[in-house]
Amino acid sequence: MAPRLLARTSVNSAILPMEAAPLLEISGVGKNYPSGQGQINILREIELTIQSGEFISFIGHSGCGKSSLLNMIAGLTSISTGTMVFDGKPIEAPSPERAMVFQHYSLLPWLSVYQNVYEAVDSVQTELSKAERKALTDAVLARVGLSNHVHKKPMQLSGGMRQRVAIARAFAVHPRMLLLDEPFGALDALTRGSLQEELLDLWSGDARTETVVMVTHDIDEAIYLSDRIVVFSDGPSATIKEIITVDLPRPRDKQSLMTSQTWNNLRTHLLLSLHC
Amino acid sequence: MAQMIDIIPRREHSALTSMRYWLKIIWQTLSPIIIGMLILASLWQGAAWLSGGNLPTPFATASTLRELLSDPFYDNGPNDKGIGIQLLASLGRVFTGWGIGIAIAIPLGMLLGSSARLRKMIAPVIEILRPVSPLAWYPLGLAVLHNAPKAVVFAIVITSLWPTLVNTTMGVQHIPADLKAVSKVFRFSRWRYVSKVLLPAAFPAILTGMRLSMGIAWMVIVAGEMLAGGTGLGFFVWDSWNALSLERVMSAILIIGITGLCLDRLFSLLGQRMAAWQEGGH
Repeated sequence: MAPRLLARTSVNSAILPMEAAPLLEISGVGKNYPSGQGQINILREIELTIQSGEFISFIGHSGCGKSSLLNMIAGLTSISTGTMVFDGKPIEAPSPERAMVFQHYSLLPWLSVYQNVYEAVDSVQTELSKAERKALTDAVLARVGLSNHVHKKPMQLSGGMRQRVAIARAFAVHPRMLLLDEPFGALDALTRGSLQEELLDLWSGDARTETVVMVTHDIDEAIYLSDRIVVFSDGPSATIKEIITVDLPRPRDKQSLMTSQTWNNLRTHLLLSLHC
Repeated sequence: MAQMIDIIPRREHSALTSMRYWLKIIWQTLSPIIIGMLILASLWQGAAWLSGGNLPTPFATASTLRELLSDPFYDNGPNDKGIGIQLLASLGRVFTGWGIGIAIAIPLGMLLGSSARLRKMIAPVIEILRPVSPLAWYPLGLAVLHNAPKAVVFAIVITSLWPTLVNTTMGVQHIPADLKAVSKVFRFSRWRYVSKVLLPAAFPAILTGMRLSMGIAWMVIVAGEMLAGGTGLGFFVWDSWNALSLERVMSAILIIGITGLCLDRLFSLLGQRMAAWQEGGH
């Protein structure tokens, strides 16, 4: 695991030359929603370039449009202005290449844990044989520690376990980019902590899912996980206020990090940025 | 000796307690029903008195009902058949008509629920046709099918359409946006979406529609068979009225009511089972 982690750290700085085509290029993007007779502007002039291999967090107050932007990257919501290019092609529709983990898990309640993952694998991994699809499903569920719960229905699981299923489902389709919409917002602090580590583990252990974009409310979570933090101004008509680079080496150890000066500086900076 | 006295009565005591417990539960469940029935019977008895003998008493009806049920499946030619045969004839028509009706309504409702444009086109048509009394379709069925019992089935088909159609449409329309998003992100095929997302999500609403359809169909069948003649409980009611046997009419009413109740219970039981299954029970 360790060499892999080191390799990832170097992806951003060394291996990728600066002129490499970005994985995602957002330029001049805005979003309007119809409201009454007119339109209400949610987002404006979003400029953001995401390189392959990055872990990016969107942070901002409720209603700042960060989830809207994530939905637009997913292709679930249309953009009103500007362009959004993923891997050289404009984003027009949802795709398993940009798999999503939703805040409220969005598991199919009538299917078992296994079936919830298998339906996604079976739908997307068409080049695999049936046996390989089953093996893949078993493997991702084992990675999130759910091997003993595969026959349970989502309603029988705790919130943390449900979100593990949703994360396993997203990783199982081997997306180029993983989109997470406040994935741990509804969980208690302890569960959140262990899921953050599991997410990092999955991300660094999977060569195919290189890039993660996550919406969060939690400053510590953003610092611990991200390479760059995108801070949004308050809505309506929100835009990117600043982009903060988290210059902390990986693998990161939460305990020693939280007492470090860099962490404190970043934390204070983010707090001030969010509260002015 | 002292020990034996101590041990044996205690066991008996616990058996007695559990029997008392169950008797109490049974009494608590049944007593309101029995009291309700007694009130109905006394009101009925009072009405029979006031009518000066035009309305049969509960006792006269009970003895006729016993007579009818003692030989439910006799068959003495076209105008003299047992009540069981009439009941089965009515049930057969209701299930045929209802089956065809929901077989049309469920797929149509799925389409309407999925497409706002289609809804806007079809809604006015449904709104015009839905309030029409089911029996108004009977002559139309007669004209096309040239067969009275089939025309009744036709009326049942039309009757069964609306509740199932409306409920299926609503059920599909209200599938959570998150689940639709999941099917898009993971690129579910149409068939996967319908079988794994749409149908299970809309199933409670569809079942409610099927139950309402069955309820109305069971009401319409009696009226329809009165017009059509031949066999069935509706025919039996009308035939008994012509023979001036109101005891038989009242007996038939009881059978119709109880059968309707059983059908309804069947659906609510099915609904509970499905709900438990969806939440991970058995």
